[in-house]
Amino acid sequence: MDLALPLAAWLVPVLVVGGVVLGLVADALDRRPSAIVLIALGLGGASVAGFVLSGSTQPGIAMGVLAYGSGFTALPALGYGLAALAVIAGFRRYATADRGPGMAALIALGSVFAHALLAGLDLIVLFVSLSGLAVVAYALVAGAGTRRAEESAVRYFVQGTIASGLTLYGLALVFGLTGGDASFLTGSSALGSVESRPALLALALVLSAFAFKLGAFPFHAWVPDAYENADSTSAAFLSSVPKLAALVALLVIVRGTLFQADLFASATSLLVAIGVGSLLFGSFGMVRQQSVARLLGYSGIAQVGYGLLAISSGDAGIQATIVFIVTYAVGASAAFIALEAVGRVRPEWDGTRAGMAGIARRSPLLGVALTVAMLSLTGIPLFAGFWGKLHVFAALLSNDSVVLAIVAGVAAVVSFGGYGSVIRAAYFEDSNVNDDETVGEWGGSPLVVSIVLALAILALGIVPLLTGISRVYALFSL
Amino acid sequence: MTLALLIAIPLAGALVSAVVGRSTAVARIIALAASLGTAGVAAVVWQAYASSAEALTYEFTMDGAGSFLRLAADGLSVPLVALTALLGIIAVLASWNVERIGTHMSLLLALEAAVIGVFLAADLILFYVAWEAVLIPMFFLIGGWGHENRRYAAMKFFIYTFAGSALMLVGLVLLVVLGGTGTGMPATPLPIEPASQTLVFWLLAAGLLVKIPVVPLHTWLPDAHVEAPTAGSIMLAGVLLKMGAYGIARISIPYTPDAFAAAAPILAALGVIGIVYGAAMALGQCDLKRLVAYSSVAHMGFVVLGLASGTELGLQGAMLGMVSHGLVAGLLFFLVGALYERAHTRDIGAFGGLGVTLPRWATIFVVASLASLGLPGLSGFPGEFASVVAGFGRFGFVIAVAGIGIVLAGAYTLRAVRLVVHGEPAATQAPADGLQPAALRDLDARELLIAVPLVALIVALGIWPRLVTDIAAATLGALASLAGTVS
Repeated sequence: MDLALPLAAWLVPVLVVGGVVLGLVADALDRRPSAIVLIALGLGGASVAGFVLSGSTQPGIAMGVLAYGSGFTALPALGYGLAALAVIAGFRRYATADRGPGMAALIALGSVFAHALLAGLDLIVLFVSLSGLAVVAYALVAGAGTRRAEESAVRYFVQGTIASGLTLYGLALVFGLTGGDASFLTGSSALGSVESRPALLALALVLSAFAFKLGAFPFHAWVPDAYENADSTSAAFLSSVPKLAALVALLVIVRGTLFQADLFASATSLLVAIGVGSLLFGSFGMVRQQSVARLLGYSGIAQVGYGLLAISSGDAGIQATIVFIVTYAVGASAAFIALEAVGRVRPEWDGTRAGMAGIARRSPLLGVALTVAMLSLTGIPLFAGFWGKLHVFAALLSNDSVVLAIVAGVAAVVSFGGYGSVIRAAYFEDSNVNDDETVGEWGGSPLVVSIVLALAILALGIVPLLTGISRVYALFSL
Repeated sequence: MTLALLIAIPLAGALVSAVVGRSTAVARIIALAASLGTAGVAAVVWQAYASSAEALTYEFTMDGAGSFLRLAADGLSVPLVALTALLGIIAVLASWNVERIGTHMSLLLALEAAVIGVFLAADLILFYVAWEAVLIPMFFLIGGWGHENRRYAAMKFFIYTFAGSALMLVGLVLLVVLGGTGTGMPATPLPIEPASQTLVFWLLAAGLLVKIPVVPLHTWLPDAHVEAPTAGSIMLAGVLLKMGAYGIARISIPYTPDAFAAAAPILAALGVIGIVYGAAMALGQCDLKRLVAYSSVAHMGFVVLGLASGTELGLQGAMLGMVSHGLVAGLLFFLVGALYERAHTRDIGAFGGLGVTLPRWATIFVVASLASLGLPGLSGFPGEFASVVAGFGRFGFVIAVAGIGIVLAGAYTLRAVRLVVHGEPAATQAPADGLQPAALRDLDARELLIAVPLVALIVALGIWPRLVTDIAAATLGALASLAGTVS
C-alpha cells in the first residue's frame, strides 16, 4: 500500500471540502454571497485541477480503494465542473434564501460522493457513497421549500429507503460470498469460485440499487417528481452528476472487475431488459408532458436506457458508455440551467411549455441555448449528444444487436416529440404573456451559464468531425 | 480545398448574417454575396471536373490523424451541387422582403451548406451529419416563416424525416461495422454477404425513401410545402428531395448491389405508384401550392423509376429528372409564392385571366407548366423519357402504367393553366375575397432576374440535355456496371 498519495488522489476532493468548510463559516458569519462564492471557487478549482492532473498523472490506485488518473480523475472533474456551474447559475437563489448556502454546500458534497462512487473500488466505499448521494438528493429536492417539493422529497425518501435496503442485502451477499473481501480487485477471484446462484442474486440486487439511483425502469417513479419540484439548478446537478457517477460505477462493476465472464452474460439480459424499458417508458412519457422539468425527468429515464444498453454490449460498449454519459451530463445540465434562465426572464413562469411561448423572441440567446440543449439530448448531429448516440448504436451493432439498435433509434425519434415541443413553444408559438422589459430581467447568471454549456455542446459536437472522435473524448477513457 | 469552400462560404455567410443581420440591407448583401460566391466556386468545380473527368477530393487532416471531413465531387455530385448553388441564389432573391431577414438568410445559407455537404460527403458519418443538419434550418424556416399551419407542419416534417433517418443511421453504422474499413466511402464494393446487404439496404431505404418521397411515405411533403415560406419551398422541392435519390445512387447501389438488384422491382413499383398517385392527387387540388407539391411526388416517381432500372440510360434519366425538377419546381414555387404575396390566397378558383392582368407572370407560368408536363424541347422531357424507356427495358410493359400518370400530368397542368391564366379576369374573381385584379402588380425587375435565368436553363436543358449528361456520364456508367454485375 502506497501511503505517499499523488496529488490526483487527494487534491481534488480536498479543494471542494475546503471550499465547503470556508463557505459554511462565511454563512455562519451571515455573509451568504461570500459563502456561495467560496463553494463555487472550491468546485471550480477542483474541476480545473482534476482536468490538469488527469492528463499528467499515471493511473493508479490510492489506499487500495480509490482509482485515480485518466478517466477516473477526468470524469469527476467534469462532475465538479457541472456542479460549479449549477452553483453559479443558482447564485442569486442560494445567496438570498435562508437555506441557500446549505444547498450549495450539499451540491458540493454530493459531487464529492459522486467522485467516490465513480472511482471507488470497494463495496464499502460504494455503499457509503450511494447513501451519501441519496441523502444529498433528498435534501436538495426538499430544499426548494414548496409544499409539493417537500411531499415529493418524502416520497423519494421512502422509495430510496427500500432501494437502500436492497443494496445492503446485495452487498452483504457479495461480502459473504467473497469471505469478507470487499475490494473489487481481489474479490472477483473469490466470487468466481462460488456457486453461481447466490452470486446471481447478489448481482440482481446490486443492479436494482443502481437502477434506482439512475432512475431506470422499473425504479423510475421518483424521477419526474423530483426534477419537477426541485429548483432548476439543483435539478441540473441531480440529473447530471450522480447519473454520470452511477453509470460509470456500474460499468466498472459489471465490466471491469467484480462480476466477470459467466456472470456478465446474466447481467446482460437484465441490463437489456431495464434498458429497453427505460428507453421506451421515458421516450413515450415525454411527449405529453406539459411541465418542462417533468418532461426532462422522463427524458432522463430514457437517456439512462441508452447508457444501460451501451454497458450491455460487451467490450465495444465501454467507450460508448463513457462518451454517451459525458454528452448526456452536459446536455442535461444545460437544459435545466436554461429553465432557470427562463424563470429569470419571466418571473411568473409556471413551468409549463405553454408558459414558455415566444420566449426566444424575448431573449434570442436563451432560445439558442435551449435549442442546443434539446437537440443535443435528441442526438442530432453537430451537437455533442449525437456522438453519444452514435457510439451506442455502433456498440450495439458490433454486438449483433440490430433489433436493439432499431429500438434505440425509434425511441430517439419519439423523444423529439418532447424535445421538439419545447423548441416549438420557444420559437413558433406567439407569446401570451406581457413580456414587459421591466418585469423580467435579461437572464442573469443562469443565462450566461446556459450559453457556456451550449458552446461546450457545440464544441464537443463539431470538433470531433475534424479531429476524429477519440481525440476529444480520450481524456475520459478509463 | 475548393470543395471545402463550397461548404465554408455559405456557412460563414450564415454566421455573419445571424450576427449582424439586424439591418435589412446588410443581411441582403451578405446573403447574396455568400450565395454568389458559392455558385462561383461551384462553377470552378464544374469546370475542373469537366476538363479532367477525375473526381476532386478533399480530406481534412490534423497531425496526420484522419477525420470525418472527407469530401469528393464526381459526375454524380457535381450537377447537384451546381443546382444547389443556383437555387441558393434564387432562394435568397426570392426572400428579399421577408421579416426578420437576418435570421432568415442565416438559416437559408446554413441549409445550403448542409445540402452541399450531403452531395459532397465521402464519409458515411459525415453524410449522416450533413443529412440531419439539413433538418434544423428547414425546421426553423417552416416553423418561423411559414403560413397558418406552420407549427404542425414543422414538427411533422422533422419527425417524419428524423424517423427515416434514425433507421438510416442504424444502416450506415451497420455498413461501417460490416465493411470494417472505417467510415470513409470506399472506392470498391464492400465484401458484405447478401443477407446482411438486404438488411442494410432497407434500413438505408427507410431514410432515403422518406426524403424522396415515395408514395406511402410522402405525407409530410404536401404539408411542409404548403406551409413553408417561398424560399423554403424552393430549396425543399429543388434540392432536398434529391438527397434521397442521390443517397440511393451514392450508397445503396455501390455498397449493397445484390440487395439493390433484388429490390429493384419494388423500387420501380414505388416509382410508378408515385407517378400515378402524385398526378391524380395534383388533379384534385384547389390550392395552387399543394398542386405543385403533389406534382413533385410524381416527378420524383420518374427519378425512382430511372434509378431502379440500374442501367446507364435509367441513371442518366434520373439525373436529368433531378436537375430538371429542381429548376422547374423551383420556378413554379417561386411563381406561386410571388402570386401569394400579391393576392394572399393560393386558391385556384380565386384567380382567372391572369394572362391579361399579369402578362409576364402568366407567360413564365405557362412555360414552367409545360416543362412540368414533359413537353419535348423543355427540360422535363428528356429525363422522364429516358427513365420510362429504361424502365421498359428492365421491367417490361408493366411500366406502361406510368403512362396514366403522364396523361394525368397533362390534365392537371392544363387545368391549372386554364383556370389561372385564361378566362375572364373579372368574372372568375370571387368578390368575397376582396381581390382586385387591377391592383395586382406584375413581376418586377428583381423577380424577372429570378425567373428568366431559370426559364433559359429549362429551355437549354430541353434542347441540349448533354449539358448534364456529359458531365455525369463517366460516373453513372461505372455505377451502372456495378449494378449490372449482379443482376
